[in-house]
Amino acid sequence: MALAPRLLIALVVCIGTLAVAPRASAQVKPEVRVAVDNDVLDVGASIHLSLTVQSTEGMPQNAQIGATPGFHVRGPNVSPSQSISIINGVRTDKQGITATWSLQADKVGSYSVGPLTFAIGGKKYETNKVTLKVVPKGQAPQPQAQQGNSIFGPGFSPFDPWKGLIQPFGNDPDDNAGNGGMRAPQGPATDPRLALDAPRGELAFLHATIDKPRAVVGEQVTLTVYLYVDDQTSEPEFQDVHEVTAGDFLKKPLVEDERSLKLVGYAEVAGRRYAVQLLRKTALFPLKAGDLEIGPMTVGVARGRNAGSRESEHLRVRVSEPPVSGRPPGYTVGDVGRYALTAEVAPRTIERGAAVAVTIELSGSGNLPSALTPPMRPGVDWLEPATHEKVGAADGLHFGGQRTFAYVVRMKQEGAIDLGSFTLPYWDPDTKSYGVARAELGTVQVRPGSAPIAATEEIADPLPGLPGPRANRLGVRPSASHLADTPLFWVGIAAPPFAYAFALGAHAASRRLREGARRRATSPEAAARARIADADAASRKDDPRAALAAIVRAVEAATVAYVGVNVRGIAVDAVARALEEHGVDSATAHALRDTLDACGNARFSPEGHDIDAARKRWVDTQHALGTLARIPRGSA
Amino acid sequence: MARARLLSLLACVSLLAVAANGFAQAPSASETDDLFNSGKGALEGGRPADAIAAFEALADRGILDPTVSFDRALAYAERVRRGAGQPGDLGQAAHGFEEARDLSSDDVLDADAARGLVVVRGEVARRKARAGEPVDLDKGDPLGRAIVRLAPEWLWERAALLATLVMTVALIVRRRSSARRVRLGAAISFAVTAPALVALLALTLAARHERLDVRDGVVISAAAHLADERGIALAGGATVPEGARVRVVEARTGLSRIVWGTTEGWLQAAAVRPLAHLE
Repeated sequence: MALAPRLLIALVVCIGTLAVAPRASAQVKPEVRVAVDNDVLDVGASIHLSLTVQSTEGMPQNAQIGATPGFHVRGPNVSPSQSISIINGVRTDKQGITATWSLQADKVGSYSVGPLTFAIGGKKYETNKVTLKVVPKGQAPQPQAQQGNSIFGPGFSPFDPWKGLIQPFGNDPDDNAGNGGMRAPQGPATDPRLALDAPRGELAFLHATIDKPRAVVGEQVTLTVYLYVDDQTSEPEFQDVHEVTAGDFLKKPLVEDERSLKLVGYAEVAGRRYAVQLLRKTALFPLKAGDLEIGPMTVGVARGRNAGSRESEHLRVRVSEPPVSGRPPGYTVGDVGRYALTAEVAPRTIERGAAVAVTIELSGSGNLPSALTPPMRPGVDWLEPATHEKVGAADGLHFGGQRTFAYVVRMKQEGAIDLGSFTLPYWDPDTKSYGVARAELGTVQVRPGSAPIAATEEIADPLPGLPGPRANRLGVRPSASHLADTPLFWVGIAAPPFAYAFALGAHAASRRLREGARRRATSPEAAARARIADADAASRKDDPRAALAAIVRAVEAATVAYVGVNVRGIAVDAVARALEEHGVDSATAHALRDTLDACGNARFSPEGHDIDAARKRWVDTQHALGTLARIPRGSA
Repeated sequence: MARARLLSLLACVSLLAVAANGFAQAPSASETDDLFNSGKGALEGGRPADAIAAFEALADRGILDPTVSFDRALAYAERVRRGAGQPGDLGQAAHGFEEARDLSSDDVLDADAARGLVVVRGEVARRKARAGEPVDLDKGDPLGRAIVRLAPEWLWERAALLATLVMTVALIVRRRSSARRVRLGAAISFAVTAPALVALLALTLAARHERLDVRDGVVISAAAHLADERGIALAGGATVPEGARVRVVEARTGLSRIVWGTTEGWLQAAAVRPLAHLE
């Protein structure tokens, strides 16, 4: 037994079916939906029958239920509605009503109710009849639970995004009937393929999958969105539905009616059982290469503390182009699938100036191209084709079908004209290879006719003066090498001025070095060091006179070098004071004065000289000179 | 021993795989010739659609040849001449001629391609004029690019090298010479060559940037509306005409930022076909 009639709160009996609208044929037909709670009911029980009409031509009025044999009718309860939609910048205003009747069954039998009628702008419309079956009390399926929050009664709400088609979990009449319905009270087995690690939301959530993470441009990627509803709680209400966003894909539905839900099984998620319904099954055809995003589908759950938005996963598909290798000429990126072409040409013999009909049927799987390129031949004019198509998902999995192109082809030249062939290269993702669909058109015999010959109807050349084609390949011009691509160029640019600057700097530096050396060689310090060395050398020899003289010269040079006092021109008695005035401590100053005094006396003493005394003097003097050398420059 | 054998086997397999990949990627010479001859035959036989398919297949395979580009341009133009032109055919023809000029070192082919460009753009202009639209097809280069293109890159390079040498010699002479007139001449030379060196280096760098980083393309859409970076058409409905040569300075998914003369904006990527580049 089909699921829908018994499982749905509202049974869509007729969608968009208008039986009588003779005078409205030139107008846009209104959208009409008739829904009923259940098509089988107990005698004495009541059901709700609703008529929803939307029109761009004006407000529907005067809704009538028509014939209602076997029922007691209450109502209608009429609710108006308005909607505005803007698609591609085109605004569409729709007005509508929902009229609801309550029908109470009086007696057992099968009855046709209706046709329901209404009027728009003075024009009367009517729907198909609705067949209802009234059975003895207790034999009808259990009535649905009251929703309690709709003025239209159970199972119908103008704000219900599922248009009353969401199945009320936990209230399935089949559960009680126990007749093998989708949801047995004992709990049907769960499908491990639908299992998830964790629920994506409380009470209900969405789960989206794609059948492949990689594809080529134009290859079908099947997107499936499931609705998981906790099986152990009562049905939540859903609202505010936002579809999957996939701007980089061409979207084609794989199910005929996306508003109806199909229970696909039960899944165990984190220890709880969920009923899983197929919400969307869509073929997505990538329009370009790259990492393409598929945005989530969202739906609002309006239910107490579990209320909130539920969102499916963000998905990504890595899309590339089919390989260049082996690509047949004329292949258009995006032509992916498996195609076949057949052709019919009639008649095969005509007069010049007449036309033949060429019908090309393109069939196969994948997103069929919307246009074909006719073979061009001299004297053959292909007019714009009329296109008919029958595409969809025949097996519910693969998009495809057939598209027919009906051409009118004018023959302007006489003789046997070969029309050539239609070819359509494609990439077959299953075999990972290219194929070419081909349809040979054959030859048409064109007899002389009364139409003017082609030459007289030639139009002016829109591109006069074009050069002729080239027969031989030339090859590209040799690629020039560029100096700027090599480091040597930049070295060459920078080297001369830098080398010059370096040479200048080196020259100046060497000059400064030489000057410094020269200055150092003639300085008082250098002279003092030389004198001290001389004195040291003289003290090691056996000539006391020479040693004393050397000590005196060392002291004189040291005082000049270290404190800037030339003691040679100063009386011995004044030496100590002069040195003290230049920052020399008193002990050192007096030691040096004593040295000078002692050396002077000894040098000119008639008693001769003692070399040991001279050496001892030198040792004492060295100590004083060391102190003198440590006096900071400028302190004098 | 066994390990060495295994390594040898792996090396052989790797080499074979690399070789096979190379063979798979690179079109064979015979395949290229077959496609070219097929396109040429179709073009001469009055079957421009078949010729376009063949020449585009060569382009798909990465074959760079001025003759292929030239004949492809003629194939698109031929389809227009036969009254079976598709939207964008004139732009495709202009693209082929521009590419042939860029790739060719043959003066005759270059001249023929230039003539073809004039014819194709003339037809675009005629159609735009008939539709009451502006017919400005060639806005020329901005000043900076025009200066860079005054001379080939190699000339800027060599001039910069010469400038640096002259500048250095001038400095040396000025320093070493004692003759006043010689020193004055050296000072003037330095004053001239130093700023010239800076300018020539800037031109060299700009030319190198043009060569390596800037891509040109041709508009192949009959209605290429300039948009902002979000892809929303600019106010005023500014368009870039079919067949116009533009600079592609940035490319994003689905959009290309182009410079056309002094006009700058975004176009749908599919509206601009990049020109083949030798570098």
